[in-house]
Amino acid sequence: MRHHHRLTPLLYLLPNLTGFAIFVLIPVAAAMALSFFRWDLFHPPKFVGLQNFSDLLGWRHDAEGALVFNDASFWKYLYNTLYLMLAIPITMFCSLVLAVLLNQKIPGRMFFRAVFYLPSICAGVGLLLLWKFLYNNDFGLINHLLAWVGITGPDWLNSYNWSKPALMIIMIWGGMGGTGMILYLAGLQGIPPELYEAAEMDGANVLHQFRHITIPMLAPTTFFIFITAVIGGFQGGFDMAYILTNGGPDGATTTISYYIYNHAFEYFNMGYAAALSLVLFALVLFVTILSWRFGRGATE
Amino acid sequence: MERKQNLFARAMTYPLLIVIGVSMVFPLVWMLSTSFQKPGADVMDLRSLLHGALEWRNYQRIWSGTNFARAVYNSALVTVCVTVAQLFTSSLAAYAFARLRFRGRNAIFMGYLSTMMVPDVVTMIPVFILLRAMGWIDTYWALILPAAFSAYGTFMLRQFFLSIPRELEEAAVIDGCTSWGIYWNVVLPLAKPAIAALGILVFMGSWRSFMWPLIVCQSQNMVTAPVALSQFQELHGVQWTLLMAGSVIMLIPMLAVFVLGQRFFVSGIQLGAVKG
Amino acid sequence: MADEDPRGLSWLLAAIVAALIGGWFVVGPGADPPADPNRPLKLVLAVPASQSDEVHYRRVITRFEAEHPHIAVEFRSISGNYYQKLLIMMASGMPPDLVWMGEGFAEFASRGAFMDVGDRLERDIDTSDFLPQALQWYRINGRQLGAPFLIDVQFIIYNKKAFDEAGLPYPLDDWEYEEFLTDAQKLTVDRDGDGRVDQLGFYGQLDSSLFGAQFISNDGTHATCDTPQMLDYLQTNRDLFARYHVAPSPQQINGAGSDVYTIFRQGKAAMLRAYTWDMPFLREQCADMDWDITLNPKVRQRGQWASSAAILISSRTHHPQEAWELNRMFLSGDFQLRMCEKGGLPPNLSVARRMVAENTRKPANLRVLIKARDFLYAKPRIANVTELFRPFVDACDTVWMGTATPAQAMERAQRQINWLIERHRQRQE
Repeated sequence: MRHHHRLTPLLYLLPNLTGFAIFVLIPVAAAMALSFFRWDLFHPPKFVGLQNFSDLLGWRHDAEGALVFNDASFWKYLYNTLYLMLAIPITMFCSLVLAVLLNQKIPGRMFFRAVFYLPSICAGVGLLLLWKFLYNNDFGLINHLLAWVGITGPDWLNSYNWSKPALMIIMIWGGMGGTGMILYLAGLQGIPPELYEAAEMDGANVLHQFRHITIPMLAPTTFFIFITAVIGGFQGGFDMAYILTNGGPDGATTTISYYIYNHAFEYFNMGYAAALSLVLFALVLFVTILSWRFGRGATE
Repeated sequence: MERKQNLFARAMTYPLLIVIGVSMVFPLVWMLSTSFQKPGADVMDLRSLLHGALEWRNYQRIWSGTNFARAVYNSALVTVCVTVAQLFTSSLAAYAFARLRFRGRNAIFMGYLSTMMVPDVVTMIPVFILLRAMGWIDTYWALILPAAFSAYGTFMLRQFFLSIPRELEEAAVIDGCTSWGIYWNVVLPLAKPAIAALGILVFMGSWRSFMWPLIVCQSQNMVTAPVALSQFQELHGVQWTLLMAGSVIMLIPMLAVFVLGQRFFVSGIQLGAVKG
Repeated sequence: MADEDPRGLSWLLAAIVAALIGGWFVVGPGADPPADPNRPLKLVLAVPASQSDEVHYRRVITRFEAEHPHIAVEFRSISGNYYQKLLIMMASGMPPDLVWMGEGFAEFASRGAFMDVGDRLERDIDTSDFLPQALQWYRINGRQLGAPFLIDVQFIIYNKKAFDEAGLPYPLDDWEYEEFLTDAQKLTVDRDGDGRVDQLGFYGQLDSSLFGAQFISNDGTHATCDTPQMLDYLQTNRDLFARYHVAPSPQQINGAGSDVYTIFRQGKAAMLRAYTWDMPFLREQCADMDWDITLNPKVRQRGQWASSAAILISSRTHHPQEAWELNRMFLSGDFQLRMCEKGGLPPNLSVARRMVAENTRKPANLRVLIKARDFLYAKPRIANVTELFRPFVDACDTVWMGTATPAQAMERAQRQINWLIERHRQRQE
């Protein structure tokens, strides 16, 4: 196979590459180009050079001479986005544990797999509004349960400090049995059972096997889940914020993607939204390449 | 020793599974019970939901009144096409990225990957204008094609292909297999769990997708099921009972695909097969 | 190789494909049937999906098509995110000829999305008893872009039983803040004596218009957040929940959504801030309760928050005259009446009077809507109002959370909004 014809790879790539170039590459290039324009969606776009970027990333001196960012919100929302992404490793760990548990040949595993996947299936406005109700300060179930054990719960979604953890709980709960679990289940099938049999003969216990066989053998899967979760995480948080908090209180749950949406479709600053996307793109690319370097052992 | 460990692991497994599992079933129970309430019922009053009314009329209304059957057909057609197209094109490209050597492989791959990093919000209008130029607005093409080629699927399958032991393919090369033969006879069968996983994810994504169909569907006949359902979320107020009845109908194929797909999560690789 | 591939699976896949192909012949290809060759001219009308409104639109269209045999009207009822879809259609160069506009009007209008119909309006429509203010709302940069068929008004709904139990007379339309506060305090009760309030006096907040406060000047040139009126608005509303404990925090109110009907019906609140669009839900969900409506109490001044809905003509339509012929039908008293019956104030005084006179359902006091005509306050009609509003909302949150005083919060909002205005101004040059 190392001596295939020079054009063979092209044949394999062609079906995907053609569609990809037309429906992904061209629009992405257009979006990137837009970041150098000002476009209110009604008048023809107007070329403004790097102005969007200086409005976004630049700083100035205010009346008292203090240094202020031109777009202070951006930095705040970037922080929010990164904060919410802390849910990613937790979700991944839960997914891994669930997948390992449900990969055992135990009665009812098919049933439990389906049960844990339910939040992904039921996801939607209804599910989020159910959470909103559970979080309610006056009559929500969560604070009722907390009061039962003697804890006065916070006003989750209306508190500056608790709104982000509240969203993270939803992300972890909904995510642990979702994509991550499916991919880990698929990945677990690639581990030859002989490895466990050999380890058992050497007297290694369950935790030991998990640590020294399961985790290293799943490294390519973990790498994939991590990279896609990071890429998704930087662009995430829109649905929840849109339905649950409107990005509040005081912007505490506004993420970059929500901010991009606002500029594109609420504020009619499409050029600025494109500039935001390009900055986000650079950031994600940087983090991805960084992870790639660290994760090379797992991928090659 | 081995037996004891298994017993311990299992004893730990069930309580954990059941406790978490109950919280995961809860939304489904809520959806089901809401879908059987009388219109205008108080859907956030969990106690009243349990005194089960059995209002089948919600389901009848969904099916008869609102062109929902047509919308479900559109969704099914689009979803099946998108899933098949993605599995086919992604697995081919992934095979090339994982196993074939060619100039610029890594650069092209990074290019693929990087397009995932641009938010949909800003590519939506360019894609729309592109489809309009092709005259495909309000056709199945507009629903299928932009979703049929994904970097995600290519990346995912590449990762799984990489983890397949090379020994298996080398054996095939010695037997005189072409690269196509290896792809079709060796890699694909071995990657069944991964293909099934991707199939589930793509199906789910396409079946549920809302924003894009909402934007490109113009005529009533082209509407997909999630868009048809959204008509129960009006500007002021939601018709919960109808929305949930529709959601429950939408849920059945997803559950079926998941249950079918996860049957493929069985070990496909045995080193013994190579060494023996 | 373990092979769990169920043998039935390939059959299942084949069956699915067969079903899809078979389905194709049953349902036919996707697009709408070809246009009627006898009607060469087509008008597209886009409105947000609403099952109760759709019949009224269709009735008008049927009449219009009967009168204009050469015109076909394509009715598009858009569900989900109405404004986003509309925006994409307009930005991609395929705007509908006529579009429904509500709160989003200012953003579209200030960018030139709509046609000037001033002359046609003057010629074809009798506006003698049309609410003058409502016409003013649709005048942008000296161009009259249309007129509303419905006005949404905010009001207060109260539970009569709660007032009876507290021995209070029902609120009058011209009540004032002191009476309102006393009532709210008397209506806030802990029935079972467990230290938790079971019935709140008022589920809502007092609108900024009652204080004569507005976050930005009418011409949009500068922020007006730090006025004494605005600080009074914030302090008074904070006092309602933090000092007098007669109301929940505005954050909770804004987050409650449609739960407010439940709260009101279950007797957890004696008075509720409501809007005309709540009317159908109140009538349905609180049918077995005794409730009525009243106007906001006078605080610094009288005021009722208002918004409106109109059908407007795209500035890029190819058939301005035909579009206007259809548009004017949406201004008829008949259409106003039909759309407002479920909840809304007709802009024509005579139509509004007729609606009140013919009303046989709750609320009995519907005529307060006519009184409200004299002090309606709509959101300023300026460009970028959504973007400029955001720093104000964020700053208000800090007051409700108690992390900033009204003065601190509004100083911040003032600074941020003025900077945004300044930047937009520079970019326009």
